[in-house]
Amino acid sequence: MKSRTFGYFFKQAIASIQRNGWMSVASVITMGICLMVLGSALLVVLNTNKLVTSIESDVEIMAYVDMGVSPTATAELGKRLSSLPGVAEVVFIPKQEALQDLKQRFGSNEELLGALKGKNPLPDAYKIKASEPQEVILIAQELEKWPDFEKVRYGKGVIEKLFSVTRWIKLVSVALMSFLAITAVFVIATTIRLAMNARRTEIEIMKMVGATDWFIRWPFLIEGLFLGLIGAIVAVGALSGSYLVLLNNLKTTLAFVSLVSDPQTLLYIFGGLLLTGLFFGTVGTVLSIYKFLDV
Amino acid sequence: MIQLYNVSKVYPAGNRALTDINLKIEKGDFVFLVGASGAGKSSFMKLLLREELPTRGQVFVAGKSLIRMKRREVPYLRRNLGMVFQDFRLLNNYTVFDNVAFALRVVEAPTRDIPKQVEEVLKLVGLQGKGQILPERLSGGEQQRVGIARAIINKPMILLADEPTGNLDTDTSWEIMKILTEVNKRGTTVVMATHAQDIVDKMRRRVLEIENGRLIRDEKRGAYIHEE
Repeated sequence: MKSRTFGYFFKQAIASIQRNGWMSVASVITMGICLMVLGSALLVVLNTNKLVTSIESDVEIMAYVDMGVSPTATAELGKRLSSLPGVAEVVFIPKQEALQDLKQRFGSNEELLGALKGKNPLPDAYKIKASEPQEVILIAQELEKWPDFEKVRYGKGVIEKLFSVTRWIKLVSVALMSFLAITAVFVIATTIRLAMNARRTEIEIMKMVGATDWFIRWPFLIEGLFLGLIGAIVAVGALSGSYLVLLNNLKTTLAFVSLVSDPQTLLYIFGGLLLTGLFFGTVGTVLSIYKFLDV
Repeated sequence: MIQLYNVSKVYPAGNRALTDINLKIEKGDFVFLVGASGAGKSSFMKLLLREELPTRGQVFVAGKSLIRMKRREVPYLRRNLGMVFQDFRLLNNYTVFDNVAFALRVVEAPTRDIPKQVEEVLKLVGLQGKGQILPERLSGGEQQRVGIARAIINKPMILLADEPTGNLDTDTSWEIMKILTEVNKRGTTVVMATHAQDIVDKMRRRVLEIENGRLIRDEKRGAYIHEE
């Protein structure tokens, strides 16, 4: 295609967007809202994942050795733990140390300690850190099978709850997104159909004097792409603006909450939103072209 | 230039528009297509433009079989066919110049040649200096001249005119006929569907008469109504 022709298509598309003023505005808004929901959902999911990861990485496994296990067997356990895949660090906590810890915590409460009558009821224990947060559950499940451990503990509840929360967010946003995406595509398709209707005499004459099918289609495709892109720019503008404000506010007020803020990830998200806008614009236009433009 | 062999056209609804048409139109011919409304003149024009395909038979236009022609070749066929309508079909939000230039733009003609070409054609149809006017401010005859200018600017081999004087008074009609004659003299084959008896009778050109979808008359210098 010749470049001057492309300039002509461009002018046609812009003129058409202006002529269909309100429909163009409506399609930009719908597209904008759709992409804002998509973007917000993405940001929420990413941030929850990050939160889960940071909680998980703090999570340690406490494995309590059965009372009946001999000291040598206990030391042997430590070696076996260290050689497990996914284990980053193993710390042995002998029962004396645990008792010491307990005494410190209860301090003056002599009565309680007296009841022990000099015996130490606490077991030896191992504190295990995993190299990857996801490994925590796997390692814990493995250790539960070892007969030498009486009990294995880890932050089970918290992790699972967070995971179920993200799962729900993902599900709801996918459902909402699909609905909004269909709406956005439909509104773009309608706008383009109206644009075709406004230019039907022109299209008829174009066919008559020998314009190729693509010559007739291109201006509409550009119009659809444009509407999608403008909607995406609106969404990215609003979303990135409010996210930056949020980041700044949190930095000063809730410094311990760390949101996803590395530029590359954000660039991917916002770039992805722009591409999605272009894609929806194209799909809507192509639908109208094949349904209503008999070329 | 135009050849039809045993052409029949039956529309999906079942009505027969054309039955067993055989004819040949040579390069440079000037042909009147006459017949009552609904006799099949429009169907004939549509076949030549390849808006419709015949149900049976072969159609050749400018040496190409329209039956075997691929869809993407149709635009290039149409560039060889200028089309003029009874209702002019101009774009009312475009100036006269842009209406004519439109036909050049959509076939991607070189931009810098457009003004010169449009001026030449406007001069040929007697509209020099009226390029910047909107069509609705012109008389019917002038609007039809714009229509002709648009139809011939791509230098088509064939000009198809569907009742081009149907909306015009007698004097204006003759002016249009003068232009069509001039276009024909320059080598373009002209096929004109018409109900204008006085024009056909005075010009004495080849007449094709269609009745109920059949070609019932083909005379070299015919009149509107068959003379014994």
